[in-house]
Amino acid sequence: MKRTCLALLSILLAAAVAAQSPPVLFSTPMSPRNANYAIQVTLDAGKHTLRGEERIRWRNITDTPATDAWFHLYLNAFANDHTVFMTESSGQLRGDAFDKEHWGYCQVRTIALVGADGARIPLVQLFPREDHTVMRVVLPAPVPPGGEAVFEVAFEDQLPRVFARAGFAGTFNMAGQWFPKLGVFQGAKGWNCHEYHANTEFFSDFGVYDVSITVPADYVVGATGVLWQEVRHGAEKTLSFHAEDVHDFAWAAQPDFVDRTETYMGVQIRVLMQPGNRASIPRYFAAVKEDLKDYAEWIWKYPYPEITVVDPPMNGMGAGGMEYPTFITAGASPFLGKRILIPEVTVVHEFGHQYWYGMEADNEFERAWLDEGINSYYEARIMDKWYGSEKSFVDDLWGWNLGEEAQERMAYLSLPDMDPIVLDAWKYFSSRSYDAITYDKSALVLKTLENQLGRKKMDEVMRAFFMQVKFTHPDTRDFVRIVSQAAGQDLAPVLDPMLYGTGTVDFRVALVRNVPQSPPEGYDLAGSAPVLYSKGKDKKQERKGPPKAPFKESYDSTVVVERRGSLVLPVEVAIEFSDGTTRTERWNGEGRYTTWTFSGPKVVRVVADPKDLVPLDLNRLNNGWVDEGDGAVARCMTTRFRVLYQSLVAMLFNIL
Amino acid sequence: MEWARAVGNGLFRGKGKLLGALLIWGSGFLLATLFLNPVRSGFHTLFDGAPASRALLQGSGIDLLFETGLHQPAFWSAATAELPYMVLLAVAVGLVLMAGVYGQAAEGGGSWRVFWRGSVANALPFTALLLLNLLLWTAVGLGVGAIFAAAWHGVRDTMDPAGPWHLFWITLGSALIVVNLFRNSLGFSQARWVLTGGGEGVARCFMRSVAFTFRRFVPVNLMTWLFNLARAGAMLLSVFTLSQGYATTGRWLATAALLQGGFLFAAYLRVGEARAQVSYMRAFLEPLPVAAAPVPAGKDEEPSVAAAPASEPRGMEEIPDA
Repeated sequence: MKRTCLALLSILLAAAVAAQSPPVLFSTPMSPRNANYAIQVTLDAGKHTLRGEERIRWRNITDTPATDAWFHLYLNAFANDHTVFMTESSGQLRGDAFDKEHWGYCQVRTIALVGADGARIPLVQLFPREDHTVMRVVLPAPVPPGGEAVFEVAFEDQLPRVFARAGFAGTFNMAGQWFPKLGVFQGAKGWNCHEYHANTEFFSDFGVYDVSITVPADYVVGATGVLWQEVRHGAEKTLSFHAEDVHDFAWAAQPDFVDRTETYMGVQIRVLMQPGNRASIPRYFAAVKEDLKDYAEWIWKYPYPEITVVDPPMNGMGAGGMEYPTFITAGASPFLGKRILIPEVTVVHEFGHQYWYGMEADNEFERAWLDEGINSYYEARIMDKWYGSEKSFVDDLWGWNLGEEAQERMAYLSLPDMDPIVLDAWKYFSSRSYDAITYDKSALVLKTLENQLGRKKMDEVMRAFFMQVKFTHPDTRDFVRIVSQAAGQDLAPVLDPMLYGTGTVDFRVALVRNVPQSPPEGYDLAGSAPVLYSKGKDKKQERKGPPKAPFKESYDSTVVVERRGSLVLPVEVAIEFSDGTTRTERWNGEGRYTTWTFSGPKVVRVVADPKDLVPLDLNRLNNGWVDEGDGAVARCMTTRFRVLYQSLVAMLFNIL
Repeated sequence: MEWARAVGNGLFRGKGKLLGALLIWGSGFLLATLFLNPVRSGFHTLFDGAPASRALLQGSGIDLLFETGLHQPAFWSAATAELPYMVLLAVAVGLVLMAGVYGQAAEGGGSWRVFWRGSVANALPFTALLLLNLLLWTAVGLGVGAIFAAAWHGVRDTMDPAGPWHLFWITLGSALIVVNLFRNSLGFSQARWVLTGGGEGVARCFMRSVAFTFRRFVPVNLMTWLFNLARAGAMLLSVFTLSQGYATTGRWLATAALLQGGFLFAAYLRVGEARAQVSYMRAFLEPLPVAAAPVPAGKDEEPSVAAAPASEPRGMEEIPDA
């Protein structure tokens, strides 16, 4: 009897403990889990402040002892107008202007090192530079390789008005980069912990996150990880989230989110939508499902059990279009309609970050292209597969279509050669250059590589790259090395100029010349018997002499294709002749130009890169030559412009 | 339902509507052609020798247009530089045309002579009425805009996330209302002018017309919105819904023909609207009483009454509400 009671009690106790413990998501860790966070935070919805305490368990996974620790305090970028971020951005980012009536900060009230015996050793906060987005503490004793340090930090945040990804807008609160976060210790190189620049994003180590968020009871909260406990206490409630093998944690809270959940391929998809944008809920779900399906086929099945998509309000769009582990923000509007695919593109893009930012986890300060560029490449692939390559960004809006690749080309063309792809993000000439090169040029480079290798081989090399580097913070050299290995050829000569250089390429049909070469009128004695050639009919001659052969016009034709710019890439050239035949020539791009000569029918049409395999070509309008244009395109464009001009006149007549 | 009768009169009764519509459509076509000519030549230069540009026939290849902006910026600069002149010319031509249209509506005749007489007589007063209306409604628009800007600034920090949408729709709706009030006011000023023969002067005509459009706010706006929507619908149909595209020469011809059909129909609706406004206003105006002939004064007496004018004025006075 006693034994039975004891057993029962043990079971009950175990159940009680289990009920208070977060679930285990992965029986085998996917990542090193060397930076683990347990955070409790309370939101003051009226003042838009966060008050929090965190316990960070950090393990030194390098072979160099760590004598100090560096932390990111990202929200201090919005503390005043002298910060690096505000100075570089001049208070503007992605079309948003900073609201100087609502500054923000992240203040560490106390920080202590917890010894093995539980004793707390207070640490002194040092700020290496004027900008307080980086904090350093000196450790009382070095942390040896393999050793651990446990930090306890009490902090307070003031959320700014939504700007650059975080803040509040009315009752909407977006907590991104909101807690003191360790940088990445790189051994002999020290801590990689840059200030928060206007162009940079984030870089941190993987771990387990247990975060308890206290908010007013009527607020709906979405966050990284799984929600495993919700406790109501009076006018507030505390929600506990748990995430494993992630390197960041973000959350959003608002009272009247429209909360919808669906499950697809074993993943719970949760959409938190603004009430005014309900009509876009199916668009968000469809985009996530498309991502899950395509990434599983091309790269790897999404390993996490959930993904949350948050739709920010109209006056908080600065928080939109952003990625965090298992949590993304998008952006919809009733004005966009179903033909402008921005909601789909945004969700596809931000979800794609789960692989590149989230699992491959490159250093976004220094090698942003490994995330943004690769992700943009896959964004285009997924949208092209879903909507067709001509309509994957705008689908028949007022008679116009726009594909993803065309949209990326336009962005790239706007500033193609100021900066290389591989560059520290804060060193770019401008934000526009950063966007054009990191996102769009990088995506087009990968598209060019795909066109050279073929889709199947490209899938193999990219899968090989991802599977080898996931959870390891790779660099560009890793990319070139691994894709070369997987492709079975050294791709450095092809990739290095595109990644490290600022060269451009522009193929141009420089010259087409057709010189008529016809037999002389009269007798041609070259053959075994005389052949009489005449252009016209001569009945008298027909009675007298050998039969006449009709003139067969023939030409000596020369085609010259030029390569402008310093980037050497191969190109196909399609040449069409007057007898309807075509030839496809190939040029490896070496040298300034190449020449082909033909004898026979006249060359009537030449097109360099007819299949658009070189999307980096700066000018496609000079890629072709035709003997006689039919004017169809000019007529079409004139009529389209007539609509504008004549409508303007008609509108004026209507008003008058 | 006087307004409905007026709309019917405007669209289906009276002579000369087709003349007015053809003149409006033709003027728009010629003006657009005149200013499109350099653009047309430029398009031939840009695209005739570029096989890649064939994508534009299908509505794709927007990146190629973007390329022209980068590599041929002078083309776009030249293509759009003339637009302000086109606008000015269109305003001048439009005033002359509307003067003729409204003049025809008032006189009831359908001939070219009636149209031209109206154009000559009313073009300058119409210009003055336009300026007065622009002054008034720009001031109103700026005032309304300032109110909304202040409201936005005041509530944006506290409003719930759906709030900005409500404010946006209210702002857009208000802007459309103000624009339509301007159109009402101008249209009925012009109608009043041609009906009264200008006897009351531009300023008085303007003020009384504005008052009229507010006194009869609902029917006036119903009329104007009906014609606005009909014109918009006609253009949407002809430009988008029925468009055959540009993939072949035949499709291009069909698209171009449909486009001009839409513009012609919209011009007809404009003439109809003018006539409806004249018809509606006519119903609420009555002739001014004719002044009695003065008694001839004696040699030693001052005339007690001013001499009557040689001919009756055509002035009409609005019938007050019952």
